[in-house]
Amino acid sequence: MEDWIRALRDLVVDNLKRNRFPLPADRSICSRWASGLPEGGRRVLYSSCMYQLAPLIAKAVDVLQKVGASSGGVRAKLAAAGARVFGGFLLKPSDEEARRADGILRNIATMLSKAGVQFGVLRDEPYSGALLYELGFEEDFASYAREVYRYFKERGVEEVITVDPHTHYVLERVYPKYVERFDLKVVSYMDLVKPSKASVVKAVVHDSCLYARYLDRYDVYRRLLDSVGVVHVEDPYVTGKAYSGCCGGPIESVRPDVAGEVAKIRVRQLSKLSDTVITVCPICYVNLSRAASGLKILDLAEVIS
Amino acid sequence: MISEIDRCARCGFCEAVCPTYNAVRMRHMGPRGRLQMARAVLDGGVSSRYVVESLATCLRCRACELVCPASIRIVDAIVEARKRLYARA
Repeated sequence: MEDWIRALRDLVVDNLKRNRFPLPADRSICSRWASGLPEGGRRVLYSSCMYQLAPLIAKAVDVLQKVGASSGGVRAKLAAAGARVFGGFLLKPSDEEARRADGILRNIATMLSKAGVQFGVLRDEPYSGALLYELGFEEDFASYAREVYRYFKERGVEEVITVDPHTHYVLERVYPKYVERFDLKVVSYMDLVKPSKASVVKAVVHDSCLYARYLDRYDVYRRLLDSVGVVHVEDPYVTGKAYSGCCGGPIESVRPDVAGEVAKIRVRQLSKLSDTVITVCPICYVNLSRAASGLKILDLAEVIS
Repeated sequence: MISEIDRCARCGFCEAVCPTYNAVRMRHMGPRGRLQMARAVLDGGVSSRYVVESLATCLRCRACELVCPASIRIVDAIVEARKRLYARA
């Protein structure tokens, strides 16, 4: 187990240093969605490449598992070599995964423009480092966070619009702990958009733990759904602020077997309320989708427009 | 932090809402087990495979904190212990 976590840390740190992306992948996948949008400016729409990254985490774990076990034993020692296993090999989202991620980000950009929000994009934007922080390597995270902050400041950025809870949380709550005189304003796209239509009529919301219990946004996406007439089925023990269950995603890279079990339980709970589930986080989407059978899972930005 | 952990009355309410405990039904993979693992680490105790497994698999979803009658900052304790454990390694 310790070797396994160390292998993950080495893999992430190594790639962040080389590529400002946590996994071995071609960074061009992160910026395709932004083609045609204005570059830079005081306010930027920052994807942190989370929608493209989320499906790659499972693929990276699959590769690492081929050289080692996820817990204990002699094979775990082999996993310590995981960071080197990839060599020149690059992870790639499938065409469908890439198209979906690009579509979600383009829809967010369109909704922002229609709401009168002026923003630019940074085509070589760095990853936020959230995965490193969530794995528990705070010292590595702190030094990387200072680099990312410098990147934004050098480009004159004053305000960052986030699209996912993990990036939002680290920027708003964790960066200020480690970055001296941190002064970026952090807002979520959900606070700014004014959608006018929806692609579904009725659904159940799967909350992100970060949005619901850390960032106090439990009501924000529900209000957006209300504004376009989407009925969201609620049950205090399934979708209540205190009881809504986690998707298992945060331990996907540490114990994929346990993450899978957690997702199965969550899918079972949600399926009792509706056959359509709306997620507000790309990690939740990926983890629940793997466990979903017969359930339609959609991101909020695939539902509202 | 240790004195806060010591407020745990071992009532088990936290286990009822913990996604990992409900998935595997092993005490070190639930909040009250994790709190004791965190206490051992923060107190300078010896690490083992179970300690690492326990602390590394917390989802940090905070479901446990909202039902804890002693209002223990469970996730903060786990995250702090995990940080120290990894720094030691």
